[in-house]
Amino acid sequence: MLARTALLLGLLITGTVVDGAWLARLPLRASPDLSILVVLAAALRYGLLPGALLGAAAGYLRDLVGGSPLGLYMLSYLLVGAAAGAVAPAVDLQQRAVAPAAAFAGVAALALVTAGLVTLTGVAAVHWVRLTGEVLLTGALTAVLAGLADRAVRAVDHLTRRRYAGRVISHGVLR
Amino acid sequence: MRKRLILVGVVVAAALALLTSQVRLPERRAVGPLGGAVLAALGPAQTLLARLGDSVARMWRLYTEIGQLRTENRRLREEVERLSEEVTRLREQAQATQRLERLLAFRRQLPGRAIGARIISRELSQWFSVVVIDRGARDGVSRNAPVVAADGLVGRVIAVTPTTAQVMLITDARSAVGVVLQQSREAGVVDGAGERLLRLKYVSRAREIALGELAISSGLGGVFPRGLPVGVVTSVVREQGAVYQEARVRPAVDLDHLEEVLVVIEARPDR
Repeated sequence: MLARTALLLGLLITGTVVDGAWLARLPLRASPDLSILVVLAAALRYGLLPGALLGAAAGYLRDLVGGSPLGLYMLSYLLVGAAAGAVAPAVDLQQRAVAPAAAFAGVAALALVTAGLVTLTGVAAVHWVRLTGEVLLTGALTAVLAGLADRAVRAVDHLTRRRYAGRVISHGVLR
Repeated sequence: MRKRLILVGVVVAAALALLTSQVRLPERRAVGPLGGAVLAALGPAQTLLARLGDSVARMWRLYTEIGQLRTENRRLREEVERLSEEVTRLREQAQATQRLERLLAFRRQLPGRAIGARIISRELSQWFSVVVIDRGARDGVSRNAPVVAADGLVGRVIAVTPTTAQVMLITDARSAVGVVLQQSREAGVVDGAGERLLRLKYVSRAREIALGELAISSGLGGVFPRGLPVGVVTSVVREQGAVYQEARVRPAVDLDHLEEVLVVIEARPDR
């Protein structure tokens, strides 16, 4: 459990750093959101609480690194992660289209929630037309990378399962 | 499940509290010790990645610029070629204009009427020096019509078709022009020797021929008008016991590079 959490946090940190330091600096009009991909992949695999906690961590990191008001993205990612975790039992992860569709929906939901929070708190004005364009582009770019993130989280899952399942912790005789 | 929901609710509340505490007062944004530690830990990684990203971006820019430069280079090469051709054409045109202006000026000095003609073919063998011009009987060109250039005598017409004419140059072995040396006033005949230089013959030994002296057409013989420059004396041969002295004469006209000429179609040799 601890190793899995550490690995997922490692993925999250890598995603956040790559997002901010590299992808956001590419001469594109939008950049894919690797953090939401990790959050969604974990939430769909492990459920509500891990999704929410990982979302909170991802949002907090983004707030920290990005300089946005602390708590803004934390709450947004948290809610999206929790929602993804909540619907996870109804989602068939074996379907190929699930990961890209979830990524696109996650980006859209994240943008909506963040815009709602921004409006509610009055931090800034929301330009809905521009936001829609950004959501479409970011959603598409993120969806393209969704398979990769899903595979990474699956690898974490595989790694940690093998490690815990195979360990002999005691010898005894059953009577 | 309920426990989980409560936990999620707690985290949501914490996030909300964090947000509301900081959203209105950005200047009081405090990341706390945990946030500071995270930022401090991520800093080097961000820097490294940003540098890596910049390098990749630079390489990509370079790659795209190379493509653009190739296109630009090709375009500029084509432009240079086009302009070179244009310059050559204009230079050629300027030279032709200069030649024609000189020819025109020369024509005004000629006795009778003269028409301009362009050399369209050459036959410069060891023995025969003949050029073909683009003027013929239709233009009034006739046999034996004198042909001149801006610098002097070129030759005479030896055959005419309706549209072209053959001109025997004064360097042709069959050519002979009656001349007078401009300073000494000695008369003689300039023969073609089948080479670049002409031979001046039948000049009396009474006076010495000076090197560099100009030989002009004498007008005798009725073919060439009088006073046309034929050539310049380059060497003199005075053989012992000979009645006449001889000389080598360099044609006044550069016959090797002749392009336009004038055909005198109504000559008055006794100008």
